[in-house]
Amino acid sequence: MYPPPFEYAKAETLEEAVTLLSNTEGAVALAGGQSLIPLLKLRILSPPLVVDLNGVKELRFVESDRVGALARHYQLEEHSCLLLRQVAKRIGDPQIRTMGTLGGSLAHADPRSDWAAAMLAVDAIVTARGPSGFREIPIDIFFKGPYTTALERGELITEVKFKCPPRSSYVKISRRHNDFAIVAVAAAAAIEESHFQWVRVAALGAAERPVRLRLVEERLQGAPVREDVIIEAAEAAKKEALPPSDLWASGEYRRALLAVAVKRALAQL
Amino acid sequence: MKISLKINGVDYTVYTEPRMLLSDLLRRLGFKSVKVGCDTATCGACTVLINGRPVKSCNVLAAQVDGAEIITVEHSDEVLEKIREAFRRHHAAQCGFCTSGMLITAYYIVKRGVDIKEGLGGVLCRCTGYQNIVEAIKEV
Repeated sequence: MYPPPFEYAKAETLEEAVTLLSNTEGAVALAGGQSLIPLLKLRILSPPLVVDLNGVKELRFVESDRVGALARHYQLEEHSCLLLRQVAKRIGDPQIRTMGTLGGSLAHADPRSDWAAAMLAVDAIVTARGPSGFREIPIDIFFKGPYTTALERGELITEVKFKCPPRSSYVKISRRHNDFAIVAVAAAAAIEESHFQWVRVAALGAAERPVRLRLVEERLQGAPVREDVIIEAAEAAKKEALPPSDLWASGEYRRALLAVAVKRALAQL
Repeated sequence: MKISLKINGVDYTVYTEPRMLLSDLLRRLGFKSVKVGCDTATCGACTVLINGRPVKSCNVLAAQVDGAEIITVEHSDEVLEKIREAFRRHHAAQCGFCTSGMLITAYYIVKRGVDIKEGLGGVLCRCTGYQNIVEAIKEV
């Protein structure tokens, strides 16, 4: 199916992209297109203007603690931070990972986005550039709901900053290897003398949007790394989750899976 | 809009609409190996290589590949011929609709030394004839 007709503009600088996006009502940004193009083909979106960001070279960098919005998934399969490698490998399939980008994925805000879980687990800071300049958005307040973010009209993600955790794991449960997650858990921790010194547990499928499981984190903070502690924390996930029901799984099934995923993720730390 | 690209080593300049999908452009230019299976970026039959990496061409705008190098199954070199021969020997096709996607992905797997099953993850064979395809690639 063809996408509906649209005007196309290829931005060469960040400023040009922001200007183009803020001047046209309903204009959309094109990064890798792996979510946008299906939306166009299904005619869920009919934007008057598509602004291609791929000429904006300043957004295509990968460093150890910051990644440009246009870094592609496959580039992050070889990132120095373990969690990024763990997550990048579980996104879609090799073809999707060739095109898809970190910034595009976060801005699209699919509630089942692998990067969303990862970024929540590392307390990432999203930098956005809009008509009135740059601003930083903590990831905790970035996701507002399904496909809804804190980004304002004309604002683009430019980069994501984070501190790579000493230990991490990513457990994704899906029907087939390449599918979106029914439930997924990204865990990050610092463990000293067999105790959780610092811990983050972020989940997909636990709510309408990607969330941190704070009750689980509370149970683990300062606790010894032991099987019974992990099992108890995983049970706590069931209490705080409000999992949605949809075509792929009922809320109750997700709740049960969530405890499994939390347990596995913590055991792999 | 004007798009310049290299397909299997030959330069092309085309004038087209911004909404033109890469899969449709390639088929219109005569590269009929590019099969549009599902048209939803699921099946991988439309896989081609862009600058050496696989993409699903039904999920890429032609505008996005301006200036890029594209390889389809019409391409011929020693490695691809070896893969073709191995597919023949192992009878690595049933209905054959996914075969272009399988061949071009196999080419990427062999060239880059990617894990076979991991690499093939994005191409579906509804006949479920994966075993012979994996065997064929192993042999190359």
